[in-house]
Amino acid sequence: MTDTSVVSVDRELSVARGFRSVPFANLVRFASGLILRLLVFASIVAICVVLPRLMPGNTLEIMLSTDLARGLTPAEVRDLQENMGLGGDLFGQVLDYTANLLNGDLGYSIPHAAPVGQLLIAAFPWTGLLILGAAPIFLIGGALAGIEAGRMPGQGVDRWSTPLITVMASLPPFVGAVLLLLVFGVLWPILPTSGAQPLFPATETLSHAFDIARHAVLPSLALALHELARFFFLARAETIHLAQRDFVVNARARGVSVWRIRWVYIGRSLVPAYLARLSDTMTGLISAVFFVEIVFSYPGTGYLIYSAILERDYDLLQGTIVFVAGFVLLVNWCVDGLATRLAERG
Amino acid sequence: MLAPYVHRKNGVSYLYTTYVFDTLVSQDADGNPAPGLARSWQRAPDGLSYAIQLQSDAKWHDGKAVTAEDVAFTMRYMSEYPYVFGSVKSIERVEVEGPYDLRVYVKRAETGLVEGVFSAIPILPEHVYSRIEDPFRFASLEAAIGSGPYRLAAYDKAQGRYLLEAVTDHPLGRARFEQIRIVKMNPDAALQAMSAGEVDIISYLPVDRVLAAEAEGFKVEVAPSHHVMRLGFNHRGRFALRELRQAIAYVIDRKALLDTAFPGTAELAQTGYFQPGSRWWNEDDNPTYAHDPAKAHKFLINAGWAQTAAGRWQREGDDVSLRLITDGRSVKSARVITEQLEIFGFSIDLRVMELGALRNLVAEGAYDLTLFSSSTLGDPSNIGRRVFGRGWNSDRFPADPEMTGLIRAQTVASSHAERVEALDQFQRLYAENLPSYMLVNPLMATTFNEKLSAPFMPGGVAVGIPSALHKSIFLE
Repeated sequence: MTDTSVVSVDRELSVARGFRSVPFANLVRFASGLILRLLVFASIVAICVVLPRLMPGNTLEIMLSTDLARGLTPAEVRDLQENMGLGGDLFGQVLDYTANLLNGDLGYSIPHAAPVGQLLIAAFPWTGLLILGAAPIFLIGGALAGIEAGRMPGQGVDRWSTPLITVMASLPPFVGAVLLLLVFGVLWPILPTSGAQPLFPATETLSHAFDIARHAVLPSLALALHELARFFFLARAETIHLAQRDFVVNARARGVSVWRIRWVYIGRSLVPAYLARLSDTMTGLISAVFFVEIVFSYPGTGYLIYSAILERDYDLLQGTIVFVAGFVLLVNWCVDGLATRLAERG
Repeated sequence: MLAPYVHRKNGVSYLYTTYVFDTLVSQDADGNPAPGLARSWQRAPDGLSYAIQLQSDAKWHDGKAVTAEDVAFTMRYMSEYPYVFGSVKSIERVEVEGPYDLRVYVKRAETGLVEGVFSAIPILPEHVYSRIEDPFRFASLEAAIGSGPYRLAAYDKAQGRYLLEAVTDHPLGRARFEQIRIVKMNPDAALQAMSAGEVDIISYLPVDRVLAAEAEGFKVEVAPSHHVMRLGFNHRGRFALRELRQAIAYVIDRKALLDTAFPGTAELAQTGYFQPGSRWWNEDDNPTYAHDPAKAHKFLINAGWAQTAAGRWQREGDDVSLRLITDGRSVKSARVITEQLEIFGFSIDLRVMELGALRNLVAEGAYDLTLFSSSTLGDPSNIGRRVFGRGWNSDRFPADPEMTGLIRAQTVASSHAERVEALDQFQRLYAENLPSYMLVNPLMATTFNEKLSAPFMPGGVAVGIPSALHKSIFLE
């Protein structure tokens, strides 16, 4: 999967070089990238509107599954369904939903008793915080370790870091999350392991921010650990390759300092490859954050999707997926554009 | 959100909503009816109406007085917009006789109305709800204007947190705490927070954490949940015959199930529906179906089944394969039961599925046995639904004239003694007929510090929620 995306980027680069002198071609490529992503987005919307409705049970049935609820008469159930917007057949429901979506209305979550948009506005910043917290760890950490390992393959840092990171890469994100929970929540309880804020949030802004940051440490770390491996291997492979390129060999012959070669010659050349990988990473991150949020009861979009599935909360499930998919495709489009542009410069 | 139409549809959310919204009738420490919004009530001799006097000093959280008009409005409103935890369909009409006096007319004389509808229905403020045409989407703080001893001050949807503030001058007593914060946490985090002095009570402490809580010096109350795990039968399939259900009951070693799947966290269930601790439980010698494969063998042979030399059960020459279905919560028990049935010679097709799929399979009748948990609490007027109802967590027992007659008799009984007598007979018949085989009664625990005391409410809170957290523990 990862290899394929690298190949496709390379092909795009060669195509890009052929048209380098024609700005119009660039515009066409950006536009076609956008159209392609809009098509993907439309299919995602179609799939996630229809699929949940094909699952057995609906929101109301699951809500009424508690045995404390009194037995409602069929007429009462019908009324409730109508009141809750669950009336009509599958086709009608899909049509209604799509029409609302085109008007910018993401729907209404019955179990949460709130519009989906409002729930997303509350949840998404938490997910964003985890991703932003994780990004520097896997980007910078991955680059530092990868360059060190790639400079002398098979020796020094590479000898212990590559096996260690290989093991880390083989752990699914939720296993990493559970391990962190075990170490820092149970064996050595120094960091909070659930939620995004303390039980009684501080009123003072600075302490409040500090508390929020503390709660984000473990989930961000869990998220970063998995991605770290991807960027480590990328940096390592690129470094091995770059170390043999003429400009680096020349620099070394000219007596340029080792640090300068590391950061200016190799580090800077990593950026396009890093960006290309980043666009692919977004999807991985979003799916990893899903598990991490469940393990740490973190109130982000992943947790929202999880509760929506359990409660057959169609509108919330669709709204969240549509929103996340739109966001990922948008970021992906921007990063791809940026990576292509950077790669054009050579 | 703690408002009647928008709270989550589970017992706990209903319970928390009762802190904000009062019902006409409340409960005393023994679980018996006690004044709520109604100061007193009298049943007419013919049982067809109730005269109710309201507390004259009860107020809505916005300061307006609670009047008889509000009660009448609530009954009308709830017949238009059905409320999931209580039904007003037994009510004919309400006549307002004064600002705080009213008479409720019922369609037929029933005994359980006080413990049933009067205790279950939250009374709504007419001046707020009369203009709401879609209560299922009415979720602003205004929707939570009730008359309860605590008012909803804030809530955080994303994290499931509620902040309740005490109201002054509640007719049922003074609030013991200025604020109550309700927070959803995992049990270990909650215990940690309790040790740090941040949490005062943990409502549902997993029973396997009881020792940990006691070691910290916290008080712990443990009680049977009455949320009994049962083995259900497909009465329209292979298990229409009572003797076959009894055979299965004799095959299952409930003691082994208890020791394997519920070590120290449940007790053996009684087979006659009600469980010890319920005011309706009868100690009479109902069959206990102690593990007895020989007896089961005899029942099956009598029913025309045969066993091969290899020990496999056959019917009309074909191996008997039974499909046992359950959801993810009962996997461990399902495995133990599967093993016990397989050792006895049945081939078992165990399917563990999620709730939506399970409900469908039950509705289609595509199963032989099902493992599910269901409450036996609440006013017995709900028995009919739990035994004969078509829900996935009902016994789905076909109409049985004798049992149906007894259920009806206890519903319309004119005295408590008459009701007890009918329910005694019902229990005997339940244990014999086995609409479901009651397996184990899981225990539940609540732990709290020295600030308060929280014993489990006998018979459950309100509609039958097994909990210690009746709102009265937060009042002086």
